[in-house]
Amino acid sequence: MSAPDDVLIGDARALLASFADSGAKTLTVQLRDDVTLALAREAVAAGAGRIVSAPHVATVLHLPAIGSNAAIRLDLLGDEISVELGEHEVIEDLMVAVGEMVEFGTPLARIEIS
Amino acid sequence: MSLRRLFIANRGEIAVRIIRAAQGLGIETVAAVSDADRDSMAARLADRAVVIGPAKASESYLDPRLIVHAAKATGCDGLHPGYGFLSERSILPTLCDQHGIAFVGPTAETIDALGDKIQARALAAAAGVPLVPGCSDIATAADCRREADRIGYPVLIKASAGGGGRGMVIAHDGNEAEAGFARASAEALAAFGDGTLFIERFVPQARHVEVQLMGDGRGDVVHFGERDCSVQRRYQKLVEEAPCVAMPDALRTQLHSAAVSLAASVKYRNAATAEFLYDVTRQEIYFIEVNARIQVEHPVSEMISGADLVQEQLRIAGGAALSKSQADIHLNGHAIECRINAEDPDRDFLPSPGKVSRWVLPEGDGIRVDTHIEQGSVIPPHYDSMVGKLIVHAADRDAAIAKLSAALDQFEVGGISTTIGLHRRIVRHPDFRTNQIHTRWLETGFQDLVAA
Repeated sequence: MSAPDDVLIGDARALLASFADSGAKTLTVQLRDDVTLALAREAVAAGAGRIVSAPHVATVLHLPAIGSNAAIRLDLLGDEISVELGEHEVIEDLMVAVGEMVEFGTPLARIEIS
Repeated sequence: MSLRRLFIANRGEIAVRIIRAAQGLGIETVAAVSDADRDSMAARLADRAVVIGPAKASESYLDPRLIVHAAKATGCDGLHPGYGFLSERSILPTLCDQHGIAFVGPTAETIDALGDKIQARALAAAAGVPLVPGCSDIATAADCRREADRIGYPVLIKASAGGGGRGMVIAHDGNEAEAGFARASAEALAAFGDGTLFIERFVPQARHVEVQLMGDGRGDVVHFGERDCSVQRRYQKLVEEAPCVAMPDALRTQLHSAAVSLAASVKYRNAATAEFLYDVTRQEIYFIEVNARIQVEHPVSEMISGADLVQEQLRIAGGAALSKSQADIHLNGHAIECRINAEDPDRDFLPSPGKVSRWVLPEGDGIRVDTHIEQGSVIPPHYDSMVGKLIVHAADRDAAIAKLSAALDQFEVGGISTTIGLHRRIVRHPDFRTNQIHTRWLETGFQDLVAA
């Protein structure tokens, strides 16, 4: 993982998403005690697949169909933001609805590698 | 109409301060937080927190689209920018206007007008506000000497395109003015490709004074007295007090009048601070700039006036008139504020982020601490290092200093380095106690304070 050493990560979902994005096979983290439990809980919720998450606050504009490789589209104050999937990735499960406001790190969809 | 739900586009102590002020008026609150601040006190105190972006400020607190989108999506009808970040960027009130959100601050046009130093000086001059005597477009050494003679020595000869001290010469008499012209012009040409110079009166031992203002946007403006913010390090204020007891009453009246006139001339809306240089030797004031927002040091004005300036901001943004006329504003006693930063003064003010293992606040009558920190808080490395403000109020300056000194001794912090020790040394220093300070006092006497 290429993240800087000194970054404090307070969100387990964002951590998992960042790890999945990095393409690395192993993850070594030093956790504060109060984070350990939350991370374990989120890991269970997230499952083994890759999670694509919101890059910042936005509103969900369009969600592709399950099994699709198309981008998730978000609205930011009238501008359209595309959250692209990888070449061999397809949407396995959607975790938000159209019209919903999402925050930074909110899981948008679970992805499987085709 | 009053605000119903307020978006707080800031972090730290000012976010907490705004949330509490809003709650006192029955206004719901939504706090913008970055990923690093999702467990912050502001996130916990607000009715709702929205994680707008990652820790990096440019991708969270400094992106106006994220801020306004989140405000709109959460149904907020008002937005408070706090200070710093986007508070003086006109894009924020512009976007708020476009999306039907009341901006708790001045109009975009006012921010642009006052943010442009040349335009602000022109507005000040038009309103009869005194400016530092000076002259622009100095073409020759003879011009330089003649204008310097007129202005009065010492003068500062500066590059029009300059900055950072380059192309800048101090002249104490006519010969130095002529020689200084050649040197400054050559330096300016080499550094900026433009040898154009201007000169202005140099005030070697100035005090920084400023006037707290509040306007309704329709031309009514009141002031809440002045503050003396002369204890600075590299233009960063460390100690602020109100009133400026070094200033005689007649000059104080002139100061207040000038500040109010300037704000009224632009039909200023909401809170502002007009900053001035106070030349103690000549007993003159010179306009510096207007800060079009609430200031870090607003609590000292609140302590001597009894006003809640943030609540007043919220009322005005909701469409109300000023709640008090000038005749209703009474200033009492003396207040002093110390900015407590997570920095190590003995290591060139190196920032000291980390976990706060001990946090014991001073308590007592006339003691106030504005903070977002508590025991166990983690100070992230991404932002300003201020962890709180200690403010005291007493009958007069001597009593306030005594109370402040005792309060600083009660203030205990563990796990991080802070400026509390430096503040203890400042308030016990004879120069501070006898009020013999100026804007360069801390820098010129700093080794003495560090070694004390």
